[in-house]
Amino acid sequence: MATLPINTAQMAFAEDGRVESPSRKAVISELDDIDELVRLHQARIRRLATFSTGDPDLADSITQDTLLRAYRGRENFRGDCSVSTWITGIAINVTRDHLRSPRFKFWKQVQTTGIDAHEMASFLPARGSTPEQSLLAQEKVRQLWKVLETLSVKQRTIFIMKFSEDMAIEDIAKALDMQTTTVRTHLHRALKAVRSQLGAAI
Amino acid sequence: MKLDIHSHLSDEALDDVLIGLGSLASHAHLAQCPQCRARVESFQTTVDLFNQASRQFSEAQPVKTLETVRTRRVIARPVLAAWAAAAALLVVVGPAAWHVFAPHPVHAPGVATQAQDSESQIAEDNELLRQVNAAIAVPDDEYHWLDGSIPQTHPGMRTE
Repeated sequence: MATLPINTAQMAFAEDGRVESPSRKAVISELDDIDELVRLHQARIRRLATFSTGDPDLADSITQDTLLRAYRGRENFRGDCSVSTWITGIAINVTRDHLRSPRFKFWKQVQTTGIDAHEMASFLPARGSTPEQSLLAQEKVRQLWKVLETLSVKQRTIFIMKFSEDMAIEDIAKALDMQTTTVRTHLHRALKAVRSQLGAAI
Repeated sequence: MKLDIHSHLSDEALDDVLIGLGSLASHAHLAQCPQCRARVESFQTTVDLFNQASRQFSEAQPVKTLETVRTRRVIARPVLAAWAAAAALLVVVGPAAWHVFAPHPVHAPGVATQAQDSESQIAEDNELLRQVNAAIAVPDDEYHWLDGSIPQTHPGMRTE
């Protein structure tokens, strides 16, 4: 994702006298509207959280926390990355906090909540394909999720950020505060796992 | 990297292409090699199907609205304050009331005293807590996903 373009020729002054670019002002107004914030980012963040943690219930809490933190902390947005990357970074922090909590670890051991691969694959839109094609497509989805489930949360998160969120390596590295080479290494390991478990076709 | 039509892309070169870091030589090879191109397209098709299904699945999950969360938190504060006040009152008034109204305890010979009961209860509680701590402290790589590699906040992103 590209960073916000800053055109110094179009700088404006904010109310407190700080120089503020028009693009940043537009973004701030986007963050000011909580309904717009939810509309634009809720589904995306929920998918990232759901398939990073493998726990839809937890993902719900993470999504709520992320959007509330983004809304309440919108003044902290500095405009040096896109809003999506900024919010994704918050989601990563919130997810990490949840995964670190002893409460989560305890409940994770005594209960099994997770994503039903068959149920998830059944959400695949048919779009005019034959029943056989639909079944084949659903099977591919199930198989890929089964492989992703075997990855560490870190590898799975990076895989989803890259291939589902379509984020650039640099943006993933920034959101996770990692070196780009580290992100690449995790992606290579994830792809190796996918290839080894799904066969030579990939 | 020199590649030709007779030598297919290695797994590593193919992965570089998939993550958007393929070399010019790799892309030139892909343009000529239907087999390697099929591998790339197969992966992209599978991922695309997964993305469609996962998006639909996530959107179909019932979620609380942010408004609900905010409202619940606003309502929760006075309710919590009332409960806290009631609990504090119970702690302060409860023991005094017990001493005034409770019948005097009679211990039969051989029955543990209240102090002894408390000590054994504390020991049992401590043992239970130790077991709970041991249970939740099991090291598991699954949960160490970003430990040590990312601070709580970092430049460019500040949360509350």
